[in-house]
Amino acid sequence: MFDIDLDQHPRLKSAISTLLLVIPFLFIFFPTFWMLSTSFKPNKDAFQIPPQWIPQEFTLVNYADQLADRTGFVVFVRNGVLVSVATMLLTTAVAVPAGYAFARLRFWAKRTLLIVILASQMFPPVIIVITLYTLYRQLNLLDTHLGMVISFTSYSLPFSIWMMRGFCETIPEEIEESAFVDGCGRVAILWRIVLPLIKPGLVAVGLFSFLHAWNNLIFSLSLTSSPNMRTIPPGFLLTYVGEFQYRWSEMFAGAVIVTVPTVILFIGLQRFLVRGLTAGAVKG
Amino acid sequence: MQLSIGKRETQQSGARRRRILPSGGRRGDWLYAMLFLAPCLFIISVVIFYPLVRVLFYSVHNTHLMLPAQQVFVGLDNFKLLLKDKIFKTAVFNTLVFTQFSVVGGFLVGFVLALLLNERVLLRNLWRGAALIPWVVPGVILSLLTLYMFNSEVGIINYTLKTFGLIDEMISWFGSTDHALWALIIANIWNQTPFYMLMLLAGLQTRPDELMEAAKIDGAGMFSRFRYITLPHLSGIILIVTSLMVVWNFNNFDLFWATTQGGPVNATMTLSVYTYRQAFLSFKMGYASAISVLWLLGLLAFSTIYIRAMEGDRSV
Repeated sequence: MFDIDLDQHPRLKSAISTLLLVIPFLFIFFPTFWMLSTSFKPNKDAFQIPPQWIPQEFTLVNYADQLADRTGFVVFVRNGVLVSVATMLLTTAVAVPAGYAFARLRFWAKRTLLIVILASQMFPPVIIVITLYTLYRQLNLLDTHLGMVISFTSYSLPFSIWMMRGFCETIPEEIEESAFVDGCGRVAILWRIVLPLIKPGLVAVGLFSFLHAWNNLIFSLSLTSSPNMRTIPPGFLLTYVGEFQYRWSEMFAGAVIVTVPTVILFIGLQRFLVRGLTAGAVKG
Repeated sequence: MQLSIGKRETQQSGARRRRILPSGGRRGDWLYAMLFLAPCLFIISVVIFYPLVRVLFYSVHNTHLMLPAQQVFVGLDNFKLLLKDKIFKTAVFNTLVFTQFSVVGGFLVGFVLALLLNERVLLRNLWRGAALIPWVVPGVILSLLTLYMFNSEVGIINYTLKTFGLIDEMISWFGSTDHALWALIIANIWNQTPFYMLMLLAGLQTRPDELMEAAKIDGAGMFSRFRYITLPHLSGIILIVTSLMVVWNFNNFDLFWATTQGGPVNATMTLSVYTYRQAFLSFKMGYASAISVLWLLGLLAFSTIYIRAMEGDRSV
């Protein structure tokens, strides 16, 4: 029965594929749909059984409440933007020269070093955070933006370096050689020749590190204590699993506000990230 | 396809007769390497490797999180206690169950999606983009969404299951030790499916058409082509993606902490949650560090295999 070769019937094949897609997409879309739907309901309707699939009483009051900063939402977003942008810049600035060094330079213990850096991506954040907490206390970095940025950066770096290395390897070495013959030093080659050629890599690393900082819970939760330092994940957690539990509609309105920009950013730029993630892994 | 970290330059230098670039020979390279790598090595050493060394130190001490000055050397006492600790064993078991089902589930759904989205389906690019949404949802929001959807009284999941007659009475997802972990696994699969899809789709797009055509002419059916061309072509990506996800899921903290924090009755207690509770709620730094040390030893074993795998397979 499996002898039917669908490739002989391209139209049938694409029709069947389209139909089959419905099932996984129900799974993919349903929670997102439910989050959106709930965010437009008055809170009392979020508890109704049977549930209203489409809000009967459509309201924007939850969005207005969030933007009016009733529960500190605006503060969380401001911290989130600040810390994520700083992480993005720092990660990129550090990952570019490192990735270039691994792609082009020849030095002692290069392979070991790369493996060590890659392996650090796998260390459980929980283990790091308990000792980082005591270290930060000594350095007075607890409850600071800087402390968060450093911790996020360190966790974005290994992957970013790996991606950067992949991108640098795609540049033909002849270009750099001719620049060298023309009298450029290593730093100038990196800055003037390589950097403009790895723009997709910069996008990939920037996006990856931004999202990482934007979504990180454990470091920001553990390394900050005052409410006005919280980024979005600990802010949401401590607000809606505490004091304002069961304010589902309001919570989801906030969730939609913080997720929509990152979804757009991610979908728009994902092709760079995919190139970065596979650049180190696949040489076609 | 070639997978590699390092070692490639040996293959290249054979092909290249003259090397123009090294500014001042190997020593020049070494100096620039120091310069270029210094910032990254500094940050990673301070934030990741130094804490790891401290974990070793704390694990043989009786350290209180808030009173680090009062620590006493206790030798291997923490480890002895740990081996008798039933909750620790539960945590290891739950972590393994969570990791295994999350990876297998996410991979299967993601693979099916990738295969379908590689076909000429209607509005293909729209679906490819939309499928990524769950991956971008922050862990905390995923957790709150899970709490709401799996709520025993007003949750949409129970309502739907009941409407279709799949259950007779409402399941108390987070109130019962039988169901809590499964609710989290389902939520986690939802969250991670796009990542598998994204990576596998990227792999599928580099699959050489000529090979497929040649196989077709030779009479290979759809399923044999999948088995003998597509799967071997993807094997490298599959290996990297799944081992990466095994580690990430093993380390998962957000989903647990923002929903059950290990409850009910340790039904969702994982290594991450247990370590965190020991350190930040019981202030037992020493004990938490002992857990960490055992955990790291396990990780070391796993990552050795992982790195071997990343290095191998370069002949294809």
